[in-house]
Amino acid sequence: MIVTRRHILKLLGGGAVGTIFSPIPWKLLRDSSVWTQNWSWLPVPQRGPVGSAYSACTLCPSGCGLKVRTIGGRPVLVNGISNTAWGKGGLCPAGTAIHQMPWHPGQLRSVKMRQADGRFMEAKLDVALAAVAAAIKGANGTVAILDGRPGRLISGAYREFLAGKGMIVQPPSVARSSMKVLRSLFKEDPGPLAIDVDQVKAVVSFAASVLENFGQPGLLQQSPKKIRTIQFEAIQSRTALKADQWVPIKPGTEREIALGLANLLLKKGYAANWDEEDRTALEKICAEWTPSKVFATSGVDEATLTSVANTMEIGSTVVVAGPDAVGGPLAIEAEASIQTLNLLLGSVGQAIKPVKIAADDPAFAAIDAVETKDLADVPAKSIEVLIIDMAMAGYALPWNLLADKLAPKALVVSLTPVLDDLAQHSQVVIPTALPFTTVQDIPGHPDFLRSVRMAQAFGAPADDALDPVDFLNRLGKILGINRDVTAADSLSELIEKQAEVLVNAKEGVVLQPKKDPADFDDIDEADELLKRFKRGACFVAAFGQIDTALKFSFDSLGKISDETKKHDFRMQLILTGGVERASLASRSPILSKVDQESGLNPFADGAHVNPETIANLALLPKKRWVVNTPEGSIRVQIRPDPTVPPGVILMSGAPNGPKPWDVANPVELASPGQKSWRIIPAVIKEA
Amino acid sequence: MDKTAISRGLQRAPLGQFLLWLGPWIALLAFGVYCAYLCLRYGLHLTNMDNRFAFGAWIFLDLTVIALGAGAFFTGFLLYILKRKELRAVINSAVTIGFICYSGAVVILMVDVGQPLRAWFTFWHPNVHSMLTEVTFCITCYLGVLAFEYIPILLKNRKLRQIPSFLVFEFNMHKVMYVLAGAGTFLSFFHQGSLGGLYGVLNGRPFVYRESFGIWPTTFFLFIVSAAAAGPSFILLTTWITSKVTKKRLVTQEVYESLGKISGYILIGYVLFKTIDTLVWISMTAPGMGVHPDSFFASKPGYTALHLLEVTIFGFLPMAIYMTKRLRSQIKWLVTAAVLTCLGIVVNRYILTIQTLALPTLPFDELLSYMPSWQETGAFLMVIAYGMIVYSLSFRYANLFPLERELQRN
Amino acid sequence: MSRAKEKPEGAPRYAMTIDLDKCTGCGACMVACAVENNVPPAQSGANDRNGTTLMRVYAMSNKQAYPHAKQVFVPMTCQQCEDPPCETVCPQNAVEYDWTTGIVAQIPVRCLGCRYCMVACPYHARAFNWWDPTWPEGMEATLNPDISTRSRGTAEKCNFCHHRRQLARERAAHEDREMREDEYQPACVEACPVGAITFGNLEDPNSAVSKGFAKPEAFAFVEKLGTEPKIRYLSSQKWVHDMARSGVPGKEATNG
Repeated sequence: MIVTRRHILKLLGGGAVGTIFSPIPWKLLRDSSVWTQNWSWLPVPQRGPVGSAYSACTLCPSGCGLKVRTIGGRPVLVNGISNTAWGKGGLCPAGTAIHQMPWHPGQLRSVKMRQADGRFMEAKLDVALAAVAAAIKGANGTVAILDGRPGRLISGAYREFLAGKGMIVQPPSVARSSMKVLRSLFKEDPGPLAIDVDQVKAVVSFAASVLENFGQPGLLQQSPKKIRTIQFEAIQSRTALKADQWVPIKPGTEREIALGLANLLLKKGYAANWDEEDRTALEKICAEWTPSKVFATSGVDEATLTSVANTMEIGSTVVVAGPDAVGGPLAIEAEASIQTLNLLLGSVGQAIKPVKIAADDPAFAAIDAVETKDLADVPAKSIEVLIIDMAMAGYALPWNLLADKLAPKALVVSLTPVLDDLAQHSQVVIPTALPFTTVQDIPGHPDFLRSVRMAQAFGAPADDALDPVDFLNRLGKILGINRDVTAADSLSELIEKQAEVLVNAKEGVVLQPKKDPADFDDIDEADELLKRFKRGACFVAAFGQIDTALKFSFDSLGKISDETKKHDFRMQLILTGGVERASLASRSPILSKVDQESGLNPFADGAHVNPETIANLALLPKKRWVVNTPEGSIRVQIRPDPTVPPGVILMSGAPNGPKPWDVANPVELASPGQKSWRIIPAVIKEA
Repeated sequence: MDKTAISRGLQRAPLGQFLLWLGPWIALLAFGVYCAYLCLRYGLHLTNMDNRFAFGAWIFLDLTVIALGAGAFFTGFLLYILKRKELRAVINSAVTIGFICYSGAVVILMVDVGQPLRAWFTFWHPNVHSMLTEVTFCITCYLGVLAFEYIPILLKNRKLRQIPSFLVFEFNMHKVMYVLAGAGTFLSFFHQGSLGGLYGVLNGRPFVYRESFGIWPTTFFLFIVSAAAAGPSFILLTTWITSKVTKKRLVTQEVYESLGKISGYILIGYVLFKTIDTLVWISMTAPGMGVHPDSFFASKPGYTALHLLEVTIFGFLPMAIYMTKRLRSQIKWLVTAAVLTCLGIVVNRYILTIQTLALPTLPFDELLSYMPSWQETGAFLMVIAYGMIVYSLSFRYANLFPLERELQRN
Repeated sequence: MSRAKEKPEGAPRYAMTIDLDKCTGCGACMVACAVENNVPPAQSGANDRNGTTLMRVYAMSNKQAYPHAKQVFVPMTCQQCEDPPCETVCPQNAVEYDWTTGIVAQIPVRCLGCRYCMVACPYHARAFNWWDPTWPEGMEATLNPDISTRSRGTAEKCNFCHHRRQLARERAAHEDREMREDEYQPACVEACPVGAITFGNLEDPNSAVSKGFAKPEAFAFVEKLGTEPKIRYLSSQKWVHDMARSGVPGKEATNG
């Protein structure tokens, strides 16, 4: 047979057709589908033994407990822990991704010092510490530590470090918390007060984010009994949306409404068993706030005010206000007027109780040995050295409020894991460990409970990250300052000390996930308590009895402290956004799902203004406008939004854009002259 | 210089001038290839398509060129099956254009899909319920048919036909031309229809969902009819443009008029069918899915005007021109009507691809907008450039217009 | 077309209820979903239209002015339709209604990336991988090994964390018993801090989900499309029900 071209063609053709009927295409299909999915540059999840561990969230004062799913020891998922008194297991979006924090792209990898030309340069730790020590030694003015989260063990160490020679400065959001202000209304200090949520049936809130997404989300919603909420607020926040009743108010009229309610409650005899003197004093202050005057000032009509007053029951209704994560606290007289309602409701002793603090608890060391002040009350230009520890604060703090208190050549040191907006203004930045890379003590939110949890380490901190206790030790060595109660080589040692103190004090209870609570009959050794901490336990201090006399002082309800100068800033800038806006630097990049890939941040796109207001001010639609405040300006786009109250400019109080440490931050518009930046006087002009 | 490659008796521009003409198209092709490469290498995020505009400019333009390229199958059908002998004058050009349109569309599709290496999976795991499966099969087969129809045109080149095996091959092809034409018609009928069916079956989108005859929604048939109407018009247009650019008479007036008349007749059917279909949709289909059609564009009332324009200015008007004998005898009216018909296709495909995706489907949606990125535009321009190059080469070296030699002599 | 008749005996049909009265729009469900399913953080240039958000929370307002404005937050994910429009349209049979669970499954290795399923879905449930996934350096250590990462060019959607069901059944099998229904919960259900999402088996008349479906305040979005979604939303506000009937904002839905 002669092989011709035809034969070859037949072979090839037949072969091609035959291949289609063979397994070859199936194999090719299977193989190609796999390798088109597994290119070399795609990450492959690593396998490993499955385990679980416990920790606590460090991103905000709530300190929610965490159950961590681990693969080969690496954290891959976190969930909240339920059935503990501290929250009902709800986790906010930031906490849901906290296990990714050890790989935060903004992690500081070295000490930074600002050079003469204003730029940050890498520096050696010794050099930085020497500079700080020299500044402290040579300081004529105040040496202060800004502690964003008192109640931690490091807070006690800060106080011991400064004892007798410095000042602890509290951010206004900490200094003017509801419970702090309530406490200050007593003639005799009843000690730290906290809300016992299990006793609460109704909450009357003045713009507090009680039903919000962050800071203990679900605390009220997941309560076994239904807790009724009434929200007095100028804007319709998410809490206002979810509350049983939202009462819209004119911005800045919380004090007047509270006094109006107090007036009605007094008339109902709620202060019948008070001291005559106290009752008369309060009646005098409230007398002018009749329902019609309240209506004229705040827009809350008589029927609404009366009906709210009628639902406020003695013993089980709690009134809260407290700082907004972005907008900060109310002025002291507003907060005090609101907390007076708790006194009238007899909440103190029932739904609000003192907490018992163990005598030698290192977290509370040297309380009386150091002056502690609200930042707003610090004299201007008096601080020469400021050490900032706001990394776990969970509240925004406008830089210019701080700047106003600094002496001309002040040295500012920031202890932080990422370059947040306060660190951007500092001279020295010392990196601390990111969450989940180091063991930490986590006290709970001071307004609700005195509690302690332990956060574990799931990976190593950056090489240059400094343990804050180590920072104080090294500084103390140079300056010759020794600490006593909080002497330790590291935070872990202090935690062990604290465990010892708690076990010896035998007060309080230890809540455990999926188990019954334990008390100190079961736990009689510090090591045992530490073991339980590592397994997700939460120490909760006992509530005490109210044993101080129920005698009050209403001086702080007095006249307005902020000077209302005459100015042309007739609109009111309100910054919104909650904790998620306050601490953008300390959230995992996966939060971009919420920030960038959804419309859930509606006020980040500009200044929202009611079209009525725009019409009144005869503003024509233009591309760029400027929001002017006494402190400065910010360029914005105007978004007509009929859901915003007339006269109000509503903006997100967060740095614009996906980078959390962008400098154009509306919070910086707060004026240092104002004690409260809830409402910033503003006006809109053409760019 | 290349005179020996040019058919005897035909006049063509000097080689230098021809290369000057090709130059910019080659540059555009290079740019387009670069854009396509970028999309393949770095990912489709370089386009402005997104999860809401899952189909964008490429699909819109693909559907348009496939409809315009329908001239290939329809002219073949008319010539070989219905024996309209005058169309022999344009059949080669029609096949070339068809080949260009379909091959270009397939190239763009390979860039458009996320995993082009898996494109052949459809043949192994076909979903018999999906219109897109039908489209894939038919377009692939039809591209094969077109290749078989186009190759003989090339092989008839003066130089190439000197190779005996090519001549034999071409001769054999010619014998089966009727089979190819029939197969082409059958396949085209289905894929033109399925392209319309792609949208008509979407029961999640009240804007495009239509009643069905059997398993085929009315958009299936509307697409076939509109493609049949556009095909001859596009042939008319391209022939006229080619004759103007090359400054030659390529076909007789009779051919133009015949194309126009065919297009006109089909347009009558299309306008009628489309009007009825729209009325049924307004009164029955959309309300049955919970939406009042006048609420679709409540926020942008101008957009509904496009629907009206499609049927009137781009449907009824060219139909009227084509059916009027007096106007049909004037080339400028024929070309006007052809342009309007082709624009009607563009508008229709635009409404179905772009407007559908812009519209809300949930109560908290907004009306969206979309503009292709430069990479998307560049990639499509690659197809245009490719088409111009292939057509120019075909015109120069193959005999696209059999009447040209005769007309040149006169 | 309901599939209940064709399903195997005793097989569950998983469904969800989402309480819009409770949802605060925090987005914890979105984050938990991304963490569980190895979805990477947003790339530069990503926005709400091209980001991969298998669970996404929308805000729906009653379009009134202050102080009558009202809003609800609507977590939207794949509705796991009984008659999925995306199943019939996939040219490669990469989408399949799973009769043994009621979940609409997607075969990512077969997906061509033609995006036709995304055009078909009226609930915007589907996302396309426009980018290759990248994580900040080292963060790959937190990836969940129960799910592969997906390259660019494929479509994806929620599958009710089906891998968790596999794991729960394996664990139960090891212990020689049947899986309990509460052992299988998608990540979003676990993560919701206010307990707005309930998940369970519709075939069990006593499940919370079955009871939720029967409540008068339960509704589905754009029900008239006939896709038979297996997610019901609960709301005590009438305007929410009214709006949900029409797919187009601003116009009252017709009664057809």
